[in-house]
Amino acid sequence: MLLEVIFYAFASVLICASLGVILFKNPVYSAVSLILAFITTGLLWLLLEAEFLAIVLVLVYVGAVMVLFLFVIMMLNIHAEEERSGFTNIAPIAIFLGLVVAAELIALYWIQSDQFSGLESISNSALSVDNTLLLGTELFTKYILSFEIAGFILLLAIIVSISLTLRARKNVKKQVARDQISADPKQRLRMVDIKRGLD
Amino acid sequence: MTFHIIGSILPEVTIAIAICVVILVNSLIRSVSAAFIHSMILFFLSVALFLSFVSLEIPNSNIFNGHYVIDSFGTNLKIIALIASILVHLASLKSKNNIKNEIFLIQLFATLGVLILCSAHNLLTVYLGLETLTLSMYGMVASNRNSIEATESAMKFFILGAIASAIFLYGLSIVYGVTGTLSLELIKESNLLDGLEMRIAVAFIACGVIFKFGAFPFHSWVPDSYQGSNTTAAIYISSVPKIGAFALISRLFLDSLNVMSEFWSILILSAGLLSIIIGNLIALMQINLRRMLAYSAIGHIGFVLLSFSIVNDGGISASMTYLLMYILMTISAFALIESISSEDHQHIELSDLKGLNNSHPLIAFMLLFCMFSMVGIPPFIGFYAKWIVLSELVNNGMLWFAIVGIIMSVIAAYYYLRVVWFMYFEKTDQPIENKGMMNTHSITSIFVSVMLLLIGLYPNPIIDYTRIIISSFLLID
Repeated sequence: MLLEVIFYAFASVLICASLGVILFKNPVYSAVSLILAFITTGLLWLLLEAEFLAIVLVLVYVGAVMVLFLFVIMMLNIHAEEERSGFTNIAPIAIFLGLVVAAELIALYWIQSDQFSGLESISNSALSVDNTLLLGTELFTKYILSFEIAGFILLLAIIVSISLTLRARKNVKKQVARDQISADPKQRLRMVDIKRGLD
Repeated sequence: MTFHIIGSILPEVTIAIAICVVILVNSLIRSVSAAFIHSMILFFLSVALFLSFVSLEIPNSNIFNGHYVIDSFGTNLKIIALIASILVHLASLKSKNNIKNEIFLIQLFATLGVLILCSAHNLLTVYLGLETLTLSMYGMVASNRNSIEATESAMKFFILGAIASAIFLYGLSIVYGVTGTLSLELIKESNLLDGLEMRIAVAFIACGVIFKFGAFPFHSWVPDSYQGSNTTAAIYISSVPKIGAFALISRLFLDSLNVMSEFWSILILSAGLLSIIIGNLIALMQINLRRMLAYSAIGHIGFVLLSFSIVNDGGISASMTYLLMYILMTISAFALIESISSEDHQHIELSDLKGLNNSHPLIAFMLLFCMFSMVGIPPFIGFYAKWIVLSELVNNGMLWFAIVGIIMSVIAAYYYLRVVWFMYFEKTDQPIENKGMMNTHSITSIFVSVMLLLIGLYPNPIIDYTRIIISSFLLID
């Protein structure tokens, strides 16, 4: 009972937040309500006892992706209202597609709900085991090769993005810490013999 | 046990170590000379090549829970990919060009991706290997940052590539949804491979594969990226990734989805046939040499795919033979172009070749070899490549496709021989300046071009080699 109350509470917050994403006029508000949507989704996953995924969702999407979104919105000063002026033109298509997707989901749930019976056993087995441990074990034994390759892909992404964006501009004065630390007094100080003034 | 597993993937491990070492050396040692980096990369590539020769002795085995397979097909493709990488690397060593070291590092990543694709035996590993390759190709094309053309082509390539990857991934996900497994071996044993969903999935996967080959209808990135990127990148993306794509198509279609060969062979056949027609026809109109080579590459890949769609021993090995010979030809062509282009004159047009015979007699002669080989004039290797594909087509009752191939080869002769005409029979008062230096780059390009003739005089080893590899691969099935 309590579980259901919590679920419906969070689910309604999630729906409101998702509506907020598309209905707010100010893009910053939209982004913030998307953050709220992610957090409530994370909480719903917690109810399913997928605590690791819930934390990862919050860390990755709220901590990294949404902060990036907000940076972009604030830096570029996007005026969403002008962008949205064509919305009424595509609204019929959008509503139609939305209805199709909704109908598909409902059909999937009502007609073929017996196919989801397997999910019960998955969530039951998840109850007994710490799922961080489970994911870690799978990742580092069965999927170790894929894990390592993914690591190399990330390394590649770092190198490519740095090599595409880093450049030494000629007329910009910037600090080079390494040069400062490795500065040698012999190169900078010159001892000069000066004749005494009164001789 | 652990050592046994690591021992089977030593070539990949070597490349991975090479990547780490190059990054560290590049960032920790100040003013490291480019020559040092190059020799280090070459050293590691040769070690990896040696280790893959050694791992030919390893018996066929599935490692990493079936995510990876060690067999003679994969190891031989790795050997070919590493030899091609070494040739590409040697061919892009040109003194006094200020190509940044990063591009060679990115090439190492791409080579790693190709090696992974050669052995991947699980949809997840296949996809990760493919992404390693594709992401590094984006990086290579984009690395020519100061040119607007290169940025534009990199952007196009990135967006099209991302869409192609998404479609490919969607296909893989449908395969997973239908069969319930990611392992290529279990997919092969599955008996659910005849539904409509699987056909949709195969069509999507074919889109991704054809994009990677750069064949019609997913060819539009090829001319732009060949023209926009610097030659180092262009040599690489025109040669080594095709081996990865060949490994991909063999592992996915030929091995694991062999039951559906009637369906996918039609897709591959039509893509191949249209590539031959479209590639060669558009190449007729090009005035930029690299763009012309890009369209001719589309035509060559068309032959590879056409022959692949025969789906038997002879057809697949003819396809692989053609691929190997195409790779040699493309490396030679781009390396020769690189040797006559300079920093401020990257885009060689056909009219720039006027009077090349007077200023660079040796390079003109080698380019003549290369063009004759691409036309398919005996005794150059291009002749044997075309001949073996066409004879397989005729043997398997696909006479009309062979006739289209022959007609298109004849049409292609026009634009290849036009290059020769410009070099030998046109006069100009502004010849390309002869720097007259013999360096690693020009030695390599001459070596590869002479190989076009030498292998052409005695092509049997390569033909037998591919036949042995392919028949051993098909026997495993």
